[in-house]
Amino acid sequence: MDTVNFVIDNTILNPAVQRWMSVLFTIMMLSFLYRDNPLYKLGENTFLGISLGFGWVWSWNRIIVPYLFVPLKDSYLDFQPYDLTLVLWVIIGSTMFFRFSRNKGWIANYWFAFVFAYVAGYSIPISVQALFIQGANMMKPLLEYPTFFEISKWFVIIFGTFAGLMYFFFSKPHRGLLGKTARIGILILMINFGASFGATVMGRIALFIGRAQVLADNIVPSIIITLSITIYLFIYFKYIKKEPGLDDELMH
Amino acid sequence: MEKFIYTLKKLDKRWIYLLIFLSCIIPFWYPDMFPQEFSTSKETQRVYDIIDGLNEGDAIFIDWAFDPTLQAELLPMAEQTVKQALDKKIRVFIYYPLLTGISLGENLLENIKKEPGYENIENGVDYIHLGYLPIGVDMVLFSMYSDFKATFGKEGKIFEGIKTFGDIKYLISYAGSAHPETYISLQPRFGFRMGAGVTAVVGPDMVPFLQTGQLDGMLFGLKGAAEYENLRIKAGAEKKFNQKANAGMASLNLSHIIMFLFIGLGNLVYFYERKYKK
Amino acid sequence: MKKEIPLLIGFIATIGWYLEFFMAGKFFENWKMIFTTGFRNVAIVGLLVGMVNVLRVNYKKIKYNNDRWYSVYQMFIIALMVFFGSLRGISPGTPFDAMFTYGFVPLDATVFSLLAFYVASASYRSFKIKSVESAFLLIAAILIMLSKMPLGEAMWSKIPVIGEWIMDGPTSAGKRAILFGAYLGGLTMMIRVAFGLERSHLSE
Repeated sequence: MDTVNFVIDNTILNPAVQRWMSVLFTIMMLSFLYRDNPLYKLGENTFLGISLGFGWVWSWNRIIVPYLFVPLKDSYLDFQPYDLTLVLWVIIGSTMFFRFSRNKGWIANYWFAFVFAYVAGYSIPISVQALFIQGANMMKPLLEYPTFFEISKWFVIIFGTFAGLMYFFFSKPHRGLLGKTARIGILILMINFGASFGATVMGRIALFIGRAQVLADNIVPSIIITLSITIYLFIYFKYIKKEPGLDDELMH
Repeated sequence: MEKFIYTLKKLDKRWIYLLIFLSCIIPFWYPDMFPQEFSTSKETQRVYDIIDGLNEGDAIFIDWAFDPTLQAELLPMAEQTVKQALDKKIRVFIYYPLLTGISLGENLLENIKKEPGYENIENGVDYIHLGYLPIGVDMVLFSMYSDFKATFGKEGKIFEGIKTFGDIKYLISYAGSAHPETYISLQPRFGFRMGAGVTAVVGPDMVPFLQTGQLDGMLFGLKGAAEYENLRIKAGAEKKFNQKANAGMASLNLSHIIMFLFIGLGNLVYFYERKYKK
Repeated sequence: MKKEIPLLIGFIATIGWYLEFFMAGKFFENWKMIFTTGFRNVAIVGLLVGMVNVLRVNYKKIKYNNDRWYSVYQMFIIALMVFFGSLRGISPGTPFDAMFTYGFVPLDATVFSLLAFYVASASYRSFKIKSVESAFLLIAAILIMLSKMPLGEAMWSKIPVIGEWIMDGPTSAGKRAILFGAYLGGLTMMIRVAFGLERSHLSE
């Protein structure tokens, strides 16, 4: 056990090793940008393994044992009438195991039906409420606002929303006044999609900026690992991987 | 010109990847490449002002609905909110709807404790990790309005005076998806005040809720996080420990310039071909 | 039995939670804690179902030679995490937490950051001004991007104001139009679930 602890303290708990691990895993996954390769697959399976392992261990320690096994054990040792509810819920939850059976899978539907139904139940009044809130927010006297910025903005919101809704009205052909309104509607929707696209680009690039910061802060490991992986990829694609795979066709 | 257009048309996408990669990394070594000053948006200012307006002993509820995927944008926001609350001796309750976000939150608080001024903060007194519950946030919210403490099964001095969620002064949800909309849809019914810190991808979706007042304020993406950091630095926070989002601003600028360049070049190819190859 | 009882459960549950909205605070408050505890207990059993499913899927992969060694490696990593968790616990500073922070976090963050490159490549290849609509889309995208970066404000101080107008005006209008449709569609779907007309969630 001392050996195990010594190994752990000097590997996974060593700050230098931790920095190199971060950089290694980052560049392993980035190697996919060149082409799909075994390093990327290894990283992918490491990612799945760690996430599953983390989920299992954390859930076991902080949720399953304290909220399920401990109460079940207590109810077994000293059964009280209210423990019946616990047993009932565990039996209901156990019906989900029937999902693994081809013939008896329908038993799990009882619980799923309840879950969907309760969401539907509280969502009905909430959806109506939300509709009224959004609609009421648009009932504004435009001249209440003193500036051109605000007046023009609310003018666009009110008439733009209406025009956008007219675009989605397919019960009549888009001709005449309806057609012109629908055309304005589609332009409003295009501005909306453009703004969403611009924001999406920003968001996605920001994801990589976080990783770039890690690489920039650890320049020596980044250079060494990048060079090593480049050499590996060169050797792999030149000498080991002989036939072009489907992934190559998709990439290029 | 035709050769140039042909080269652009046949450009291997890996050159684009390399340029984006370099445009994100190089500014970290030359942070003064671009102007550093920028104004604060009114939505960010509102979130800051609301938390600033709370009193000692009040409680805020942080809905930590992000995992390591989105930590670049959302972790600086969450860090600044927690620090601002701890500075004002506001109690911080952190709930994790995602299992993989827990370690981020726990490590953040451990790192905050190592900074000067935060050595004496205590788990269970100044802040508490409420953990993860394998049920939807809607059910969690219903339950919190019945009995806040029993919902999470935790103990601590931090729960003094908090019977239900109605005793929480402000909810702030950090997410990179439509997750805050669950709280927003229940907000008119329960009447709690809430703000959101969202990634840039989700930001435009939240604008109608800002206008109706269902959201009191919003932190929008990496720039929103940087604005929040600047507000705290202006209020006296140490720059050294509060620069994570600001450090990425130069990369944001250069990478976007490269993006505009690519969009321009793509359109150049398209218009050239349309004109000369009819 | 197979179809009728789930639909009956669905109808009763929908009506119950619908009425709860109108009787909030009058009675039913203590029942909510029973439901929360119950949902939690059922979900915990669901977590166990998930664990069993992962083992089942990986067993099939290993047995039938589909990416066998990757599955073996994955199970090894899971076992390693279980070992670390049982060795020194799961708090910050333990090997379990270190594997997560310096293993999972870089991997997870990098997988999704690949999207940045794909977005750049897609913008170059397909973001072309082919019509008036696409011109509006492109101009809005560029103005929003400029308004949300410090350089935009340095170029011209009015760019953030324009960006704010676009976000608060046409973007909000478009979003509301879509929201109205979504709320109405969602409402219809929920009513269909209540009356058993929608059965897709009850797979056979």
